[in-house]
Amino acid sequence: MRFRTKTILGVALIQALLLPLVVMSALHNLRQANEEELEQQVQLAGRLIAASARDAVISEDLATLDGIVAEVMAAHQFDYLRILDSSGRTLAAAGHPPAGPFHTDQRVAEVTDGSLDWEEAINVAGLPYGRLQLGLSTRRLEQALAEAWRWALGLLAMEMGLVALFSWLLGSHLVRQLIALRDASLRFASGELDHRVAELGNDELAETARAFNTMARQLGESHRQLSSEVSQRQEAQEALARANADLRRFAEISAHHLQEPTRRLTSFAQRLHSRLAGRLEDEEANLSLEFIVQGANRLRALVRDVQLYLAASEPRGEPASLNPDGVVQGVLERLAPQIRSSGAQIDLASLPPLPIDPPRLTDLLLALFDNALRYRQPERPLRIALSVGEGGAGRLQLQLCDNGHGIPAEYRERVFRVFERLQPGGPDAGTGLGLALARRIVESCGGSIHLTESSGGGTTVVIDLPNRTHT
Amino acid sequence: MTQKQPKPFIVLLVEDEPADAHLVRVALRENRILCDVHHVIDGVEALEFLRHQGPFSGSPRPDLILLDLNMPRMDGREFLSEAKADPALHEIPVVVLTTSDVERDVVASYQLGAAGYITKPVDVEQFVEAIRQVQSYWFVLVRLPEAG
Repeated sequence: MRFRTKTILGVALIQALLLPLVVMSALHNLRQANEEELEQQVQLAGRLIAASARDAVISEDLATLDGIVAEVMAAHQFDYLRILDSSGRTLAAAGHPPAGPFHTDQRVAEVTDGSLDWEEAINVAGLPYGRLQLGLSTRRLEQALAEAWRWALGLLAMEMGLVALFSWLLGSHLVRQLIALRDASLRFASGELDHRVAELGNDELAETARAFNTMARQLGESHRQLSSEVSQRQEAQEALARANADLRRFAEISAHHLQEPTRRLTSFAQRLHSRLAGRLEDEEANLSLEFIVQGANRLRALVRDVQLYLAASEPRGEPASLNPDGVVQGVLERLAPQIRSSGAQIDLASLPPLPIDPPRLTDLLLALFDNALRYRQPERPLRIALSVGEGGAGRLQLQLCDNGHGIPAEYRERVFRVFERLQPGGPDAGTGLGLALARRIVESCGGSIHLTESSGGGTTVVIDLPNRTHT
Repeated sequence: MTQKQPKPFIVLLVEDEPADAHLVRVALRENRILCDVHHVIDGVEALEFLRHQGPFSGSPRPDLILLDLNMPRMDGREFLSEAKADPALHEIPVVVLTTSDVERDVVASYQLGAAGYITKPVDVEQFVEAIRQVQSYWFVLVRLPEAG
C-alpha cells in the first residue's frame, strides 16, 4: 500500500470513528434539552389554565370557560384543550382532543400520536371538581431535530472531505520528498556516485536528505579509493603472476640445461674412477678422485630432484584410481638394490583409489621409501609398513612407518623445507628435497603431510588425502 | 722447553661437506702457522663444542671459527645469530665460508656480526691463499695482546 494511501486511510479511520460519536452526542443533548423544555411548558400551562378556570368550573360557568379556552388556544399553539367536570362531561373544548380513554404522557418519549398529552386535576379543598386536558404538538420539535440531524450530516461530510483533501496534500508532499530520496538511492546504486538530493527546508525529511547526501559523499569517496586500490592490486597480481610464470619457466629450463653437463660429468668421473681407483700412489689424488665422483653423483641427484620438485605441483596424468598397488610395486622394483642390501622387511596394505596421478604417486613413494631405507637404524633389522586408515569425514590416511633412527620432534617440521637435511654431506647424503617434494605433491592434491614418531622409535609419515571413493 | 713452544692457533671448522672440510684442512696445513683444527658438522655441534657440552666436555676455546652456511639441523646463519647473542661466545671471530658473492651479500645483510667472509673458490690454490690471509690476520690479532 502506498504511503499516501496509508496517510489518507489512517486519518479517515480516525475521523470515521470519532466524528459520529461527537455528532451523536451533540444531537442527543439537543433532543434532551428540547424535550425537557416542552414537558415543563405543557405542565406549567396545565397548572396556570387550571388555576384560572377553577372558579368557572365550580360554578359551571360555561361561557367563561369557553372564553378561557378560546383565549388560550388563540395565544398558544396547543393541539387541543378540553375542560371536563368531575363526572367526565366536557364543559368546554377546542382543537382535536383524542377519542377514547385519555392517556397522560409523562415524557416526550412516550408520545405516540404526535401530541404531548397532559391532564391537570381541578381540586378545591382536596375535592375533585373537574379535569383539564391539553395536548402540545411535538411535530415542530421533531422537525427541528431532523433539521439539526441533516445539518450535522452535511457538516460531517464536508469535514471528511476537507480532511481527505488535506491528508492527500500532506501525503503527496511527504511522498514527493520520499520519492526523491528513493530515486536518488537508485541512481546512486546504479553507479551515479555524484548524484545528490535537494535539501529543502528544515524538517526531518530535509535532515534525512542531508544525511543521505553525507552518506553518499563518503561512500563515493571510499568507493573511488577502493576501486583504485583494487585496480592497483590487480595490476600487481598480474605482474606477480607473470613474474612467477617467468621464474618457473626459467627454473625448469635451467634444470633441463644443467642436466646435460651433469650427466657428462658423472659419466666421465665414474669412468676416471674405474680406471684410476687404487692405482694412484698419491693419497691426496685418490681422495680428490673420490670427491669428484661424490660431487658428480650429488649434482646429478640434485638436478633430478629440482626437476621433480618443479613439476610436483602439476598433475602429470589421471589420478591413480585404477591401480595404486601397481605404482607401489613399481617403486619397490626401482628401489630393489637398496631393499636387498638393507635386508628390509616391507609390509604393504592394499591402497584405495587415490587423488594423485601415477607419475607423481611414484615420485612421492620413491622419496618416502628412499628416506626410510636411507636413514635406518644399523643395530636392528629395518621394517617398513605402508598402511591405510580412515581419516575422518571424506578423508583417508596413508601411513608409512619405519623403525629407523627417527627424527627429533623439533626437526619434524623443518625437514619439509627445501635442501634441509639432518645428516652431513658425504657419499650417502640425500639432496634435502625429498620431503619438500612430498609435501608439494600432497598439498597440490588437497592433502596434508606430517611426521610422527613410530612406536618403538623411527619415523611415521602421515598423509591425509581427500577420499575419492566418497565423492 | 715447552714454554718456548708457541701455543697453537685453534680453529673450529663448522662444515658438513667432507670434501669442503678436506679442502679447508689442506689449506690450513699448507700455511706455516701452527694450527689446531677441530671439525664439527653443523651449528648444533658447534654450539655444543663452544659450550663444552655432550661429547665436547674437554673442548678448547677456539681463536677463530670458520663457518659454512648450508648445514643440517642448524645452519650457519642460525648459528651466527645464536653465538653473537651469547655473551660468553660473541667475541670469538667468525669467518663465513660462502659459495658465492651473492650468498655472502645475503648473509651480510642480516648484520649477524661475521668478522669476515671467504668465498669458496673453484681454484684450490686461490682457496689456500684466502685461508692463509684470514689465518695470519687473525693469528696476529689474537697474539697481539699477549705480545704487548
